[in-house]
Amino acid sequence: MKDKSRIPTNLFEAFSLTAAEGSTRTAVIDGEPISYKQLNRLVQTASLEIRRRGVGRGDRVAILMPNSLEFVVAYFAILGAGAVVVPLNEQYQLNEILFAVDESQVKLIITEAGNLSLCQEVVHLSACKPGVVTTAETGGLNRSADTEAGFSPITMEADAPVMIQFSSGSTGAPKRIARTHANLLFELDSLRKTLSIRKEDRFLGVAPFSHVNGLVRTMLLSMTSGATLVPLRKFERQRAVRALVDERISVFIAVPFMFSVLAQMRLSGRPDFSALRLCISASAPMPENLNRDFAAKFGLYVRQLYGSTETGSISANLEYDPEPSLRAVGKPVQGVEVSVYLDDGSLAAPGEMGEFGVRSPGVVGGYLDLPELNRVTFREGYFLTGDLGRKEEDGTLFLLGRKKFFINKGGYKINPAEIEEVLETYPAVAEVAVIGVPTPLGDEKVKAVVICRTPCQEVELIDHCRGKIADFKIPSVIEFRDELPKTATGKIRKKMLLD
Amino acid sequence: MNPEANLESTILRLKMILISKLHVSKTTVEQSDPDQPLVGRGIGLDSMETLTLIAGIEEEFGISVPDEDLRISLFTDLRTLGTYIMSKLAATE
Repeated sequence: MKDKSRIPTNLFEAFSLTAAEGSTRTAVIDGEPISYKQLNRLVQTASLEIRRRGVGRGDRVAILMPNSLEFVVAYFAILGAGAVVVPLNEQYQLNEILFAVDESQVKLIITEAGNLSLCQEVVHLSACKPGVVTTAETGGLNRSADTEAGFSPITMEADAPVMIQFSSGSTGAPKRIARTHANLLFELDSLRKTLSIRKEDRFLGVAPFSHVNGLVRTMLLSMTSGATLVPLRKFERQRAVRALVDERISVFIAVPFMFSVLAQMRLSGRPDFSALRLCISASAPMPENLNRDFAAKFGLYVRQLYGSTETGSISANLEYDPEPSLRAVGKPVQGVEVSVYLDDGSLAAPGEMGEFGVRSPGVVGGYLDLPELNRVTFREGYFLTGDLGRKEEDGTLFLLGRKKFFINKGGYKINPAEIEEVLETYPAVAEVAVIGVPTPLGDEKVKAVVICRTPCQEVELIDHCRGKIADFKIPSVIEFRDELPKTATGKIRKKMLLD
Repeated sequence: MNPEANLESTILRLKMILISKLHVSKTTVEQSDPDQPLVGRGIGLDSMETLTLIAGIEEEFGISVPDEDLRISLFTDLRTLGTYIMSKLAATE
C-alpha cells in the first residue's frame, strides 16, 4: 500500500512515488502513449542494464540524445543506478563533447544509433575511456518490457550530486556545476507550488532536455508531478502548433526564440489553444512586441521566468494582468530570497540597480574544484549571479543586463573567449574580439571583429570554426577592422564595438 | 514581367528581410549575388536564424511555408530560396 505522506529524499524516489501514485495515468506521449507503470518498468530495465555495464554509486553517465521517451528513461535509469547524469547538448561538436566527458570523468555514454560513430570517436580520444551504449541496448525501446525481478534502486542521500552541468565562464573554460538531489527536489517543489502544476497538466517538451530549462522545468517537473509529457525531438513551428492543439497541451515552457517564431508564423485560421493555460519563457528576455503578437495569436501572454543553472528557478512574472509589467521577471518563486548588491557590497535600495544575489535550498554549493572562485561568488550565503537589475518595493524584479560578459544565443549562454580562441588559431588572424549583437527576437547574434595579419575572407573564418564549435556559436557576422578600441592597459573595450 | 525579372525582384525583397529582420550587414547583403549561400558560409545564417527568415518571408509574401519544406537545401543560396517563393506564390494564384 502506498504511503501518501512519504517525502522523497532523492529524485529517483520522487519519480517512483509519482509513478506508483498515478500508475495508470499517461506519462509520456512519444508515439504510443506510455503510462507511468510502463515508464517505471522501462526505467527499471534500463537501470539494471546500466548496472550490468559496471555503473554504480556516484559514477557519471552522459546522455547524448534528443528530447524523447528514451531520454526520460535514460535519465531516471541512471538515477536508479545511484549514478550522476551528465546531459550533453546534441549540437556539440567532437571537441566540446570530449571536454565535457573528460572533465566529468564519464563512465558511460547513453546515446542513440545516429550519434554512435561520434561517441566512438569521443571514446577513442578520451582520457577516461567511457563505455557507449545505445537506447536499443538498454531496453529503452522495449516498451513491452516487464518489471525486472529483484530491482531495487541504489538509495542516494539528499546532498549527493544528481547531475553535472557546465556554466559558461566569463574567463577560461566552462565551469562544472553539480546540483544535488536536495537542490532539485526543492526547485521542483517550488515550481509546482508557484505555477500550480497538477497531474492533469500536459507539457510540451520542445526546449532541449540537455539544457536546464527543458530538463528541469519541463521534463523533471512533469515527471515528478504525475503530469503528461509530449517531447518533440526538435523545434519545428507547425509541428509544435499541431502538438499544442492535438495533445491539448496546458503548459508550454520554452525559450523566447521559440515563442517569437510562433508569434510571427502564418497560421490558417485560429487553432484551438483553449487547453493552454501557461506559457513560460526563460533563458533570455522575451521582447514585449513579440509577446503582444503571441498573445493576439494564442490568446495568452508568455510569462517570463528568471533562473540560472547555478541557482535553479529564481522568479516568475505571474501577474494577473501582465501587460503593465511585461519586462519584469516577476517575484521570487516560493522559498527563494533575492538581494540586490551595489559594487561596494552594500544592499541596494528598492528600485536601485545592482547585482542580484540569490539564496535558497536550490542554489548549488559552488563550482566544482574552484575554491577561490567560490569564495568571491557567495556573499552572506547569497550566490552572486552576475546579473544586473533592480528590485521594486513589492519585490518585483527587473533584469537590466549582465555584469559578466556572455552572449545569449537563443537561450544558450556562450562564452566569447571560447570563439575567440578558435578564431585566433587561424593563421591570418592577428587579433579578434567576439561580441553579442541584440536581435529583435530578444537574444543576441554572435559577431566577430577581426584584425587580419594577412588578407582573409569571411568564408575562410566560418569554415575554420565549423566542426570545432557548435553551429550556434559560429559567428553570424564578421567585421574586419584595422584596430580594436582598447583601454590604457590594453584590454579591448567590447562595449565600444557595439556602436 | 518575365520570370528572370520576377526572380530578381523576389531576391531583392529577400535581401531587405535579411537586413531588417536578421540584421545581416547591409554591405554583406548588397554584395551578395544570387548564388550566395545563406547558411554557414556566405550570408552566415544558422538554423535558428533560418526560422526568423521564414517568418519574415511568410509576412512579406503572404505565403505559408510547411515544416516539411524547411530542409537545409532550401537555403542553398538566394536563387534557390527565391525560386521556391515564386513557386509558392504561383500555387496560390
